[in-house]
Amino acid sequence: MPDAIADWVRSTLPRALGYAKALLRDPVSAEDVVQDCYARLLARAAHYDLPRDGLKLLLRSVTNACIDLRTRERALLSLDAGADGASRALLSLDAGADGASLAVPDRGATDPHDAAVASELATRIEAAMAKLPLGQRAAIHLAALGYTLPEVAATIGTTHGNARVLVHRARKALEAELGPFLFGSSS
Amino acid sequence: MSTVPDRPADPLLRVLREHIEKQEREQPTAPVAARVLAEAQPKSEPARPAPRKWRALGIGTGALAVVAAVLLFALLPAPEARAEQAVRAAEAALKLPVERCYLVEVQREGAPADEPISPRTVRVWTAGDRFRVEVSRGPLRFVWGRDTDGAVWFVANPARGIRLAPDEQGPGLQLACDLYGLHTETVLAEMRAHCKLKEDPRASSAAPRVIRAEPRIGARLLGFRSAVAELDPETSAIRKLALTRTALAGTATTTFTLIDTRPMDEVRYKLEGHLIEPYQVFDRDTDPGRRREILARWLGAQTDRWLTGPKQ
Repeated sequence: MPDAIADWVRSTLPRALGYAKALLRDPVSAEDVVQDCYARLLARAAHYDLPRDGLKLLLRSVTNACIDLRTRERALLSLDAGADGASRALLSLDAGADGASLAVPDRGATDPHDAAVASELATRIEAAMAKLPLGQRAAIHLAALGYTLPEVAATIGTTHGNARVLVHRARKALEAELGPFLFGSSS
Repeated sequence: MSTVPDRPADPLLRVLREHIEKQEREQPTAPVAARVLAEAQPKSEPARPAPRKWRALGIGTGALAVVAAVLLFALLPAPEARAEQAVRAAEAALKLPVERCYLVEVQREGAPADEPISPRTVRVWTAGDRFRVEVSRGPLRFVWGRDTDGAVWFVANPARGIRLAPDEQGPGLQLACDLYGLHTETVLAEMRAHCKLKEDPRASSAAPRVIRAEPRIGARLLGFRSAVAELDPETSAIRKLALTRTALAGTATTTFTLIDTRPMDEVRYKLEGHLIEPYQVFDRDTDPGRRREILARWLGAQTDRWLTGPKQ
């Protein structure tokens, strides 16, 4: 394998893995999904300019794989859930929350209380993110990383308008949950 | 899709981005990278393990930053008579059976002026060798301190507390205690022992005494650049203490400002004084494994530096 491809894998892996974990709330499943996505992409590496387009393709692939995984799980858990319907519901504006909170310890703080506060804040952010429907979570995650609405829409496979609504609703929900911690009072 | 998207202007999205990027940095990716690359390589070519040294270096650098931040005071010798006398008087005042409340503020050189997060409020109550630190941020409350037996305790929830006996406290935690407890032997005595002390001229005898401490050349340095103590002209109590230390990038000044003095309330310096029945206390004798688990959630990777002894 060319070194450039190996370097590309290493440089994009933190983003892809973080994104998959945010969507699935399950590190083990996230690693499996990401590994599969890389495998599929690298199998066709000759057809792509990975350093230029690879991250976009990868995140799109991760989004679809996460939705597929959640869809399969829901189909297994619910006799009523049709795979297609569930898949659409994950990105619909009315989809319900899923996932559980995941405590993320802070590793960079310097004092016991700084570490504790940062850790609690991280936990609150994770808990608030976990309450979001998967589509909103994906949209706000990408928006927070600075991706534009068209890029968000392309990555999660929806329209520009729908992406805007997903980001808006996710942001509103997060502000309600985190406002008191970030800005001192609910806004 | 741009490879390095711009930083979002929305404060909430910026906080979220920092959180996401922190997670990206800290998550272990080497095993997954190794699996991905091994799967993609021809079978004859052995898979190369993903480099871990940079991550290890990052963690090491972080640990050094913690040490630099916590090992603040190494203020060097050479007292000038009057200034040294004033510092001695401040030491004596700190030992009186009253409790003093200090507001703690940290200013970091180079911190963004438009920082979107409201800073947490830190108040330190000291009474001799005892202290407690009350931290609040929005509805979040966290209290920790040290009791008269030298045990350090933590409370984030009034139903659950953690206690660490003196021989379980690692050096990092002990130094953090010395700082937040304004431990006389460490802060003021170090000032006298290792710093060149100078007192600012006063306009009147009612004005506070301002003592400046600069490390002496060749003296032991633990990260302090300077200290300025403002002492009450009558009681010699520390009204304000500003400690400037070397941070990872630039300097950070921690300022303690006296905001209250009152008769000591002994119970507030004990763990149980912050718990509500029914509560659980995790200590060396009660589920130490669970205690480490809770501390790890609060303190992250620093837990092992702040605890001594075997991992339960």
